[in-house]
Amino acid sequence: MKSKILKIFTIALLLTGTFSCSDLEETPYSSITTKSFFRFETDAIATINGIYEGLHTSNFQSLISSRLIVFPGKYSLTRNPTLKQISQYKIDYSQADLNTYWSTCYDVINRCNMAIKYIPGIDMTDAKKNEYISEAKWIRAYLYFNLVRLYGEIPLRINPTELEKDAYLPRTSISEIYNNLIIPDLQFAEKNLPLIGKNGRIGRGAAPFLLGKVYLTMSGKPMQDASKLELAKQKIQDVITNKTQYGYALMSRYIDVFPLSADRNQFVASKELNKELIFILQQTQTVEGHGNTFSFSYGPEQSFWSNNATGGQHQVGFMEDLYTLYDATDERRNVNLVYEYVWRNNPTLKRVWGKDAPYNDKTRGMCQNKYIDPDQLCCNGDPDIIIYRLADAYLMLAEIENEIKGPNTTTYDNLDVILSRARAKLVDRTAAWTKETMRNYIFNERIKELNLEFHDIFDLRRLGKVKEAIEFNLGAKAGGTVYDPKFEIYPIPRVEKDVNPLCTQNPGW
Amino acid sequence: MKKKRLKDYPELKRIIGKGLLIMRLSLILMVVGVLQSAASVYSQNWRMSMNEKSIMVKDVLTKIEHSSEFRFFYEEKKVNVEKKVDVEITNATIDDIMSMLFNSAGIEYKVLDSNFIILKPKGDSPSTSINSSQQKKSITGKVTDPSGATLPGVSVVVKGTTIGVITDMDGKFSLSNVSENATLQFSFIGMKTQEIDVAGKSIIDVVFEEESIGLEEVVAVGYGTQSARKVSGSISQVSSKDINKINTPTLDVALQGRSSGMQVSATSGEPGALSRIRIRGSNSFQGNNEPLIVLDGYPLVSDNAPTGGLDASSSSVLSFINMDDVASIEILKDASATAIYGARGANGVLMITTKKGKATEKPVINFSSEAFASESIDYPEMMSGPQYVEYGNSLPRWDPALPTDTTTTTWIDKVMQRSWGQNYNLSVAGGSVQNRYLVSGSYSDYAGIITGSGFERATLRTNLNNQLTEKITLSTNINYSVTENDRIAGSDGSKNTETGGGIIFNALRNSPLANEDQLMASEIDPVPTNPIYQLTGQTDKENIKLFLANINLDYQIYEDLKLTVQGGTNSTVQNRERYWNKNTSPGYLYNSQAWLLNQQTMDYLAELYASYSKSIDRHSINAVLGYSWQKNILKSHVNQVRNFFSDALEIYGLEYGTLINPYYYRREDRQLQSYFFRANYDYSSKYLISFSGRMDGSSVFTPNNKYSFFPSVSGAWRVNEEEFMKGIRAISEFKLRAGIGETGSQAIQPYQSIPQYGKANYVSGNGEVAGVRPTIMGNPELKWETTAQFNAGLDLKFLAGRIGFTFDYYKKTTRDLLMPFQLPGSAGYRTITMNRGKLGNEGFEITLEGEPVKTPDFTWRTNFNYSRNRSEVLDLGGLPYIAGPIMDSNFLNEPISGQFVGQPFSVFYGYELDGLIQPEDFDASGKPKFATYNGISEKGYWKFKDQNGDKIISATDRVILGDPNPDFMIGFNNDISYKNFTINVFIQGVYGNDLFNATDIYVGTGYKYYNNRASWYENRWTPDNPHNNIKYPAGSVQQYFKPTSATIEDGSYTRLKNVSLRYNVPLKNMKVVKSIELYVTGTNLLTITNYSGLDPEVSLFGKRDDAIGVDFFAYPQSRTFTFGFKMGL
Repeated sequence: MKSKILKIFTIALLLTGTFSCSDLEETPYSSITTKSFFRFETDAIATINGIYEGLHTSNFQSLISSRLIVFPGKYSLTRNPTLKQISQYKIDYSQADLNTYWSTCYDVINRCNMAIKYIPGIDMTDAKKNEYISEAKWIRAYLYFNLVRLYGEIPLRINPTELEKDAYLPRTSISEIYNNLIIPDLQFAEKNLPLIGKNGRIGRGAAPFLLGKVYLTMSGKPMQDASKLELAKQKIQDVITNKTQYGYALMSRYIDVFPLSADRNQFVASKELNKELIFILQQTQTVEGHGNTFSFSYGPEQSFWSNNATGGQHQVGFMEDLYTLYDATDERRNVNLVYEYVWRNNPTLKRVWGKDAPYNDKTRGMCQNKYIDPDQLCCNGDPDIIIYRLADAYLMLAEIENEIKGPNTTTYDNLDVILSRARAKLVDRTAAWTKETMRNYIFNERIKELNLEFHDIFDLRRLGKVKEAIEFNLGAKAGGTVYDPKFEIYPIPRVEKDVNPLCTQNPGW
Repeated sequence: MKKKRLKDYPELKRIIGKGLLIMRLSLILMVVGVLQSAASVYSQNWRMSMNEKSIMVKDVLTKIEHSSEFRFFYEEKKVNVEKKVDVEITNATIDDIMSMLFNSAGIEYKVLDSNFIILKPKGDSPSTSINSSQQKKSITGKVTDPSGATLPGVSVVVKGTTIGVITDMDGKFSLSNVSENATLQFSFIGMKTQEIDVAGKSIIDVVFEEESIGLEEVVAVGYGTQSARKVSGSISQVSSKDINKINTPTLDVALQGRSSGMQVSATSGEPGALSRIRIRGSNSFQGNNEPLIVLDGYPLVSDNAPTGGLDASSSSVLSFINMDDVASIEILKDASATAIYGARGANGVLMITTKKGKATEKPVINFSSEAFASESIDYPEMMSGPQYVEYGNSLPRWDPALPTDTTTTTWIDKVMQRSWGQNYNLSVAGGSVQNRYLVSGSYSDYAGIITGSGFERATLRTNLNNQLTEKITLSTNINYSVTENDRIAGSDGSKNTETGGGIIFNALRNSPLANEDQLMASEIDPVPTNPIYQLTGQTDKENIKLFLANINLDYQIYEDLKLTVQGGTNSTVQNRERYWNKNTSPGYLYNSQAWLLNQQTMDYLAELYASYSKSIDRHSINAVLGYSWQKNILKSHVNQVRNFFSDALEIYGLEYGTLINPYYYRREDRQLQSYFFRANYDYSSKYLISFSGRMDGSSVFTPNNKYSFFPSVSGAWRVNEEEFMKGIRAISEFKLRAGIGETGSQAIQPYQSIPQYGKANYVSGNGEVAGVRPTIMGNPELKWETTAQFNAGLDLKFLAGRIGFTFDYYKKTTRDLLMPFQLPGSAGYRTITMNRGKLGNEGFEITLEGEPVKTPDFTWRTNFNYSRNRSEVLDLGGLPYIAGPIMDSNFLNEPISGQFVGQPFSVFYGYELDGLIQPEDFDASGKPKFATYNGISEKGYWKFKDQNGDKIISATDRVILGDPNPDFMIGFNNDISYKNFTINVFIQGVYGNDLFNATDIYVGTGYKYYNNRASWYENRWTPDNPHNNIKYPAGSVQQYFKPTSATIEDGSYTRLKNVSLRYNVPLKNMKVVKSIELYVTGTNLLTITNYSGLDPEVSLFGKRDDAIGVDFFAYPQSRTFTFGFKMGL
């Protein structure tokens, strides 16, 4: 009996003691965790690279951004059903791109917040730390600037989201977004950014440039704070005056701004040579998901715009009125719009826009010609996406001058810089300009110059031209769109509205 | 005379408890084996020590029986076993003991080879009983089992008397003084009791049949076996005989319709493809809902999908098992049956037991060979060339008009084939009582019905059972399988630019005007769509080697206490090579493309448990207590390479590709540590109660939440054991069962509780630079998903088990559902894995089985099962709904399903149509009176219903369109035998479920640049054929690509799953060959359905539960005819 007890005891020991050795601790072998990160300068660099990465994927930047920003424009047309709904304002808060844009911006804002919170803890000089942080702050300001212009009052998130309970924030007023975040962030960047951005990254000049744009925007709708015009002027003037110091220069020909060789058949890879660029999102075919889709999605069908059998998809186009808006000598016309091209399946034929041509559906519009990559396979092309470039500074300065003092020599001079480079007719200084007519003239110049560069809906809204654009646009007219004041701002996207109990909706939506 | 029948021996329970005998069939054969051989060796080697004073002879015999294989047979009247003796022996042989006990008592004994010991007074002839004064007739005979082996120990009784004998070692018996009109009753455990009228015969040979619904059925439960009578939970058993009749490479397909409460649906007709197995519905939105598979006691990890890359997971874990090796499958359904598997038990458990060797004189060799032919069930008819031209030219087009002089290319005919296959099995089994073995090998080759697809498998299995000492038994199972799967990219329905659309997609939508050798066979797509080039231009070879070995050491410490140590490993090595040359769309876009996966999983298991079993008077207790530890390591290496200058070397020239992305090597670990117990108590086999539970700890949760306890309790009342039921002879079993318990699921990927950062490389300057971004927010509060289940059941058996009826009702609630919970966009993360939500399932199951006709020449056995499950989403953590996956991000870019509170699981979601746009839908000025979608107001087009009345058709107008969950399912199996012929007819059906016919969105609603179904063309809306049928709208230049009510269809079907005809060749006077069976089988012969697509039993999203019932150009199931031959030596 004794031995029986002993045996059973031994078994019990075996069962409970000897075998229970595992503490079940988890070791993530293939992901980086907070434990192993934010320790060295290389970690800071990788974090900043991760911020840029968030902005530049083809789907987000070239498709989603253009859908929301470019195609509710005055001259834009589309055959794409989703785009048609947006451009004709036949949407409600459930429209999917509204949410994709919104959440992608906040995703990148979160990355910026992460960098801003953790980089100070890394062991390196304060100057270095501030340089990296200023890059994160500039991008954070840029994203909030876009969000506040698209959606109005928005949640202001300045710290990384680390717990589920922190995920829900109420909306903050427009002026607080500008005054408490965008302006201070840019002022910090102005002091700390490296003078010249390396490898296509932002340099110090980007800060006064964006700050100037922010002040100009604040002077327009909906804030209409005219006191900001002087500040805007200072900042933009700074960019133009000190352009050499900042490493900026206008390209001598308009066509050279866009990174293709003169015969437009070869992509010029060197990004360092193009000094006109202030902020770009770099693209490449060589890394999956890092290319620009414009050449394929927005390129003409049966063209050589991309390296596949049917050429582009011609999802979008521009009204012929934009083509005729240019002077015949204006070099920008044929860089921006394609009038005729060789037909891929039958090279002896040309497809020509216009009367009696096989290709003249007015509702599809003329195709863009700015983003071309002849060896693009499908959705990934090489041309960088240009967000800000120096030409915009001249146009903005002309506009600011006109708003402050009315049409004057400074206005004309700055416009002429752009017009002469385009070989277009210069400003007729003898005409009877009023502030109003000059404002419209500059608005048209902006479209001619900066077409498909993500300014359209922002310009329409701050200048109060949304109604005018809807009434002019062929697509909106065909869809029977009637202007509604709610169109001045997009609705808060459905996912945010439904999931975040603190979130309210914009009036009318 | 008191007969001692084997059945009366309580020791049998002990044998069963040893785990040597898992099921009835093995049990019988085992006993046969015991009787046949090796006994003399055993009786010489066996030793016993005993030191007892004044003990009855009877008790000495009982002690011997308890500790040996010996069984005593005697007539109590003739052998005085009440006599008390003093026994003091050490290491005595059986001869020593027998001599000591009986030599002086005038009793002689005979030890048969079977280890049966017959005691009789000296001079009595063995096997003969003389207990009757009437001397009428002598009868002799021989008893054999179906295989022809003789059966010793069978009880032969003259019915209504106490006269009887047992058969001797040759299965022979002899009875004298039997009345001419008497009836002899032959009984043997596990066999059907037979009654044969003497009717003047003097020689009666009996062939026993295996009992179909035996009382002594034994079922495998977690960590042991249990008598079916004493089960209080809900367990179904599927026998190997049934599954072997279906021709399929994978076990899961063969299980379809075999058990109530279990839904098995093929996700594709591709050989070796995954099936979706759900036991009593799905418990989790996005977790794994597959049951736990336990193979010979080893829990298999089934969800090792690699963490990235193209769709890498393909094969079912069940596709590695040779069906011929399977002895039985138990399906544990309710909490009281599965709680012992705790955190992995919520989805039910499939316990697979493989065949074991039996102690036989000579090795038993079985060989089978079969050949089969398959073809597609159906093809849809598409528009012919002339129809295509007529239609294409009828709408405005950019390009020149289509040529009118044309012939039709029927693409589908070019890619589908009639395929052939073959299957071979060889097994050798045998051994002594102490050392038994079974070695089997198989080879299968299944060619798919899409040209170029196929599945090959070779398996080798060794099962050893060694009685090391009197108390220690070692069982070893080693399984090695190699599968080579030639897959067809996109045949699983995927349509995206990566794969350029599946073969079936391209075969259906391509222009019938294109030639077979025309690369761009579609009118519009900018990539090659020719499915013939797609077949020849791609390779997708998946080679998986699976090694599973476990050993099981049983130490019978005491008669009532046993200790089991189990250890094992399961490792898989998977190698998948994919290559697309420049003639395929992915190859064309990326200048050839290769994708390589090398993945290995290593799984280790260590378990230790003690089993205790004791009966005192009418009380019996049976308990298990144990510890288990399992660790799983996954390592995967993925390489995607593009831009090859030449296709000559294909994937074997990987280094010639210049674009490499992604490229990674990852490791993922998970660990589980558990303590488990079960305690069963019964009183008089009448009142049964069972407790079980498991404390599970998993590495995937945070320290505070790692452990959880899953308990269950169940009870049963065997009413037929009550006195008041004794008189009702018709009812042989009447059992009421009820149980309640909790089980869990750890249905998430590892590391979800830890904040993590991932790769976010950027292209800066002219090169890629390393970037990092936050990827997973991490939820430090993660814990188990828990399912509570109540089950109540009734088992009834009539006419000595000839008719059986089982009913089960259950109600389950799963709480703390693990799911990626939607965060507001402003959080910066899309989702976080959280425990939110609640889901309910409720249903009942009926099984009816029996033998309606039973004559010596003609029998009909039948089994009918019916299952009904209702699911309801009870809570989504405050969210109004959760969207399902996006099917096709380019075109159909809205979710087609979702979870809604108060609705069944995963309902279809989309736009309701209000008919077609009719001339009267416009006002006097020609403006539409309805809300237009995208401004489309052409007559004959779909008219979308503006649900919220805001005059805009947008995502907020979506409503629930259908329910993909079946109302009920049936399985109906029949075996009809006439003499040597057996016909099996198996019908399976699913009713009341909706399907989402996504195929029709692309090729069935008139998108002008694709070919369309001929039926659409003939019925479409035209000004000359106006109607309001949303299935046939007018043709269009634009595609709709919206989930609408037009593509929701009833998916009910009844399928003649299997018909087989078997012929057992009579083999009289054959020495070597014991049996030959010839058979012909037809699988998927007939499907009755109103569904308009290819096959109602398909699902695009495979095992995913948040989008079930989506048909999107799936690889159709095949109809297969098999000719086979089986031989036993």
